[in-house]
Amino acid sequence: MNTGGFLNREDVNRRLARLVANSYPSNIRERVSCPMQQAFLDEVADLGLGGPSWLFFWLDALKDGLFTRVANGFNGGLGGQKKAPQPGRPKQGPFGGLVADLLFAIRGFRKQPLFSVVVVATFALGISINTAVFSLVDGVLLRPLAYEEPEELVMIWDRFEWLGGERTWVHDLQVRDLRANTTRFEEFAAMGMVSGRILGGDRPVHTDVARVSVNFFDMLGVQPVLGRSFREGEDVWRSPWVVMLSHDYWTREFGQDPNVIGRKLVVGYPEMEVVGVLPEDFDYRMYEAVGQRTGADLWIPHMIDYGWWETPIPGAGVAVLARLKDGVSLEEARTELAQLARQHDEKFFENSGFRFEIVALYDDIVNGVKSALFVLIGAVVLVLLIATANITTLLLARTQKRTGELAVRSSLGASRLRLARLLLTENLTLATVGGGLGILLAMVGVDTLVALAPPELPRTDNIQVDGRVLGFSILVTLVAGALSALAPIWLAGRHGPAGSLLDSGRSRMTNVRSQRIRDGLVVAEFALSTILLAGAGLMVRSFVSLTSVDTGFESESRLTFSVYLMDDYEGVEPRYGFFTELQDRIEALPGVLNVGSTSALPLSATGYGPVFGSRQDFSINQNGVYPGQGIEPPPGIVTTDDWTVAAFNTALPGYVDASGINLKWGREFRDSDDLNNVSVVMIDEQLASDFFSGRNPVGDGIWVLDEWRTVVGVVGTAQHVAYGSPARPQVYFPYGQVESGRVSVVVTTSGDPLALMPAIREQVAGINPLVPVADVRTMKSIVDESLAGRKFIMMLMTAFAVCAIVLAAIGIFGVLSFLVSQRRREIAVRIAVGAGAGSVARLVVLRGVGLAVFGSGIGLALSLGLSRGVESMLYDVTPRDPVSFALAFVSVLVVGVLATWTPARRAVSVDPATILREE
Amino acid sequence: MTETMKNTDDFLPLKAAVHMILVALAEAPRHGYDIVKFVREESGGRIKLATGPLYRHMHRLLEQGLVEERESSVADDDARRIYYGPTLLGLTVLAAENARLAQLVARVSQLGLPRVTGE
Repeated sequence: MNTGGFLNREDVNRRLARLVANSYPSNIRERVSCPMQQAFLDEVADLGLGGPSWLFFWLDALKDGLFTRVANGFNGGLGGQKKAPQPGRPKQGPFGGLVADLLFAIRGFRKQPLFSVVVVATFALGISINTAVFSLVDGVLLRPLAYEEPEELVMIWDRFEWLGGERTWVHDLQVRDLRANTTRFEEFAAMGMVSGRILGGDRPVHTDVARVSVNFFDMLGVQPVLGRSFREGEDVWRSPWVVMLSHDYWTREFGQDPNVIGRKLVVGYPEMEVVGVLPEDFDYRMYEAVGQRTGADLWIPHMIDYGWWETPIPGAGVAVLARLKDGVSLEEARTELAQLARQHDEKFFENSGFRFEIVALYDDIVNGVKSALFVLIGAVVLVLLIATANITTLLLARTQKRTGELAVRSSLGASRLRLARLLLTENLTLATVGGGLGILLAMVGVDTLVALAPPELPRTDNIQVDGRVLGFSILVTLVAGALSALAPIWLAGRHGPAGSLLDSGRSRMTNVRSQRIRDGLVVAEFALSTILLAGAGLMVRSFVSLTSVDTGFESESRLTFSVYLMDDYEGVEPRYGFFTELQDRIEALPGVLNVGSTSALPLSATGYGPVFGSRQDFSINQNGVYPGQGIEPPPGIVTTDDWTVAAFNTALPGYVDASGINLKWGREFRDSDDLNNVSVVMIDEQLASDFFSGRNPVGDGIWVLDEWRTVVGVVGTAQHVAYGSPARPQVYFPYGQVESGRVSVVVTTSGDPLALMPAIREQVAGINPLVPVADVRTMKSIVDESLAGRKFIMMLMTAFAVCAIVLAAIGIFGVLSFLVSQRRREIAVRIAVGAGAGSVARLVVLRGVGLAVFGSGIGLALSLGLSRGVESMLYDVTPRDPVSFALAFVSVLVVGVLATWTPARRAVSVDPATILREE
Repeated sequence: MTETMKNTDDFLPLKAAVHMILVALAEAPRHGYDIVKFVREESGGRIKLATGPLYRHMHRLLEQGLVEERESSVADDDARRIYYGPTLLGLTVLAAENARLAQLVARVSQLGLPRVTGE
């Protein structure tokens, strides 16, 4: 025998025996591999086989092994059998060969760059938006508040039935009563904002000054970095003023000078002594409480004299922060407050239906944005699912092309687990690259996101891609990577290797099954995309109806700024004099068309109070009882039913004209509407129709702010609260008769509004160089800002929906392309026997459209159920808005059809001669 | 012995090939190909048992505790040949299967079915 150059018979038999033994599932192999091999050798030797019978002997043996493996299914490889060390093979730990797998994976990707790029890009997209949105949610919702035992902190508010149950400030007298008559609270702190003026720079600067009870910082557990906190007694009226500086202000104005303690500061009050500097990370903002969105620079004690009031005034007061005693639940505290509220109702508010509201500080801060953030996280999870499904379809196609390779691996002894690990390693490698890219993208994206975030989004300083977020992203990456590899692994394990080796890589069963999985995944992708599109549609439609609402005022070419008159101007007359002169001076500037002023611009909060009907005509009837304290009802009115709550606003002559508010009846205020003349008001249409049934009320009177005032004009209703909130009727008082602290000036300009500002500042300084000007902006930006929150959500939802539909399109494209390449022969035969291009294209297109329609239908059904979750975020659109749903359906369909285009063309261009010859 | 605690009826009926494997081992401890030869010969070639399937069955029988590995009885035999013999449970199961078949044959003969002649 030729023993030199070629393998001898015995050697070949030994190798074949090993191959056959290895073709059995691992559990069998472990036990009997060695004796089995020997038995084969014995048999071959005994039978003395040669030629074809020898070949068939081994083929039969191999077939049994492979069939056993198939019959054993996946359980054989992954079942919980104890592993005995295998004789003749080096023992491999669970990570043995991992590096080899990894290297092999990388080599494989380089051979298929398009596949790898698409998978990596898909992962990157999914992970980046998930990381970005998660960092948003984490910073705003998940992180605990940075205060000592934040779960014990609560906010307390007043609620009056006659105010429609809207929450409002707690009066200082009530705070005193809370301190004295409760047992379940550790302590209470009052908070408010006042205006300050900082002098000494180029020009006077307005600043928000926070006024807080002296125990405020101790209560939050905040230690000053320099100096001390407030002391007991520093909030007693007429004690010397002290002030604490924010870290930012200390840095900005004093260059972190440690000798700042003891310095005197003039901020529009008597001199204040600097006693402390707050830490850098202290960032208490009274979000909803006072609408303050930037941290205050200066903090002063809430100095009051309880003797100022006889009884609490509804709606006037402070925000109240309280700390619960150890172990007291919110519910117990609520019960105690309910009892106290009944006493207050009786004692102070004439049983008008007063309640306290108590809410955890955390909820108070985040409640307004919670649902929107949940919707966003839901949306990105859907996009991630679509991305995962997409990757799965790509992997399935790739795995199927590799069945030959996998079968060889398997026959050479790779266990099912080992093959699973190979596929998993490959996919996790791609996922890791994509995830890493996604995280990098997210780091950039988060800053953009925060910059775009609406001002009402709290705690934005916490939003960052840090260790927590990174951990989350890595987890998501791994889960998505593993999830998307699941179906390919299952399929490879179930049918792949065994059949394929015998079947030269084309197992019909595998084909059908994997096709079915891919179809299912595409249907799921379309369903999820439809949900996102429908959601985005609802947001867009809401936004459109919001922006098409008639706001009742003009915002184009209008400049506005606020002027804060401090103690230099006491009383109505000097203030009125100041603003009259300012308006005259501004009107004289070139480029100015109109000028007017108000205490509350449209879309900003106003004060409010009760208004009683005219003498002739008590047509209104509000449920509830007016508390009758603080503001007196008109004399002679016995019934207390004939009143309503209106928003209070003041205006100077020219305001209606300058802000483009429609004057319906009568006239606007004029210079002579001052204290020397009869008290007048303007009312808006809403109040006119409430009180006067829509007839012209000019000349009639309403009782408001303790006297009868004559209606001189009726104006169109201007949106004065945030969009989507119920608007109250409005009353305008002439500034010459009713003063207000802050005044906002509106200037209609012929050119660029902001270009006028230097000239205007000059005019203000010309009257009084100590008066600060602040809040310089265009009316347009005020409108934009009020829409910013909804716009933010709408834009993100739209972006996510677009991502989703693009992914779904790639998915259907991939599946159909694969289908066409798999069925090339069939198509070739069809064409060869005379099928027209139309019928071949129809084959492909109909399949794509069918999947799209099916998926979209499921998506619509799901959307109907889910859309109720976004109801609170909609404006003038029902959650089952047929237009949004129809648009979603049609878009998905259109995308589905477009995605079938290329595969269909490829199918049509199949050349039967070439293909059939190939085979 | 834990084997005896198992119910022998759980293993019945045995597949023909498995039955013959147990018979082969009950007669004497044998190694793989020896079993194949025995089964083929004693069944007159009616029971087809190839080496691969044999070890599939052996794997199960080992797992179920019906057979066990034995020391080689031949002094200079190849070390790679592993000899197998029945366990006590294996013998019990074999006896139970034999009894079951005997009983079955007896019942069937009572039915007075036509006999196959010429054999």
